[in-house]
Amino acid sequence: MQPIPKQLRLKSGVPSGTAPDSAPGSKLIRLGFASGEHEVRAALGQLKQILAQVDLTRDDLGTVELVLGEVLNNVVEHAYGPDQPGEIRINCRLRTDGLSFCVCDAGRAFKGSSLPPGKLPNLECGREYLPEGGFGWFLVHSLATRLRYARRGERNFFRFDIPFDQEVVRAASGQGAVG
Amino acid sequence: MNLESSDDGDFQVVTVNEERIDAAVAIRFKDRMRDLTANGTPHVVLDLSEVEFIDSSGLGAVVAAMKQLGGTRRLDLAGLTPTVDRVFRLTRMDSVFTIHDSLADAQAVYAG
Repeated sequence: MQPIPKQLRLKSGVPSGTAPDSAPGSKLIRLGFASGEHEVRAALGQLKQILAQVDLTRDDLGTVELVLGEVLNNVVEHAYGPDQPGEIRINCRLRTDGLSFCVCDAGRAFKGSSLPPGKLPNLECGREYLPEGGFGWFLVHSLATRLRYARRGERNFFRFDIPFDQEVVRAASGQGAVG
Repeated sequence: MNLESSDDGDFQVVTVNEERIDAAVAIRFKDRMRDLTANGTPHVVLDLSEVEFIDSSGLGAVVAAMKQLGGTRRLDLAGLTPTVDRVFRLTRMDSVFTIHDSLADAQAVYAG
């Protein structure tokens, strides 16, 4: 099993890296990158590469990419928007039973200071009225647990957990996973 | 956005030669689909077997591509990979689209 690289760099040129956590039984992965749809793509690819080294199942990797992708795209589209540049930071803590995420940005506050409920849009309608959006928060609510949002000072903090289907990560028991 | 189209008059196949349909390409996907399906073929099958990942923007773009066909033409889907399949099932979009296991299955259905 290869160790997680100590330093990584995204295509956008924004420095980022992974840092081993001092607490036994968990690891912290940190990424930082500029707001943008292509930067989100690059960050998801980078995180997947790191997580592939700790034996996540394909399903779990897919879940991480889906949920994190939706949260990050929301930041790009709404917290910053097309005209406002800014940085997005991700902390991903690897546990034996799942991953805990914190996504932080310095963009606009979330509307109403609380998360949308994540209801599935109505599909019982004629084809011409089918919704083309509104699925993002539904997917996040369906797949993530302990989802919460906080505004502190000029920053937004989205936190959520992705529970694993199986306990395949052996980092905590020291059977040769990360680091 | 690499989409490939083949057409025998009644039945058109659009193959997505991309690993992702996400927010970064959703609008381009929708526009390309509009161009490629402008010929009026009654049955269009979207072959998604190369697509490993779709997000809510991509899902919206697939819905938009179907709506662009108007009231009588059909857009079916074929060859959904596991993560893509999960998105369609979770959002109940599997009740809106006819989904074929593979392009060969779709072709068998429409061959008659």
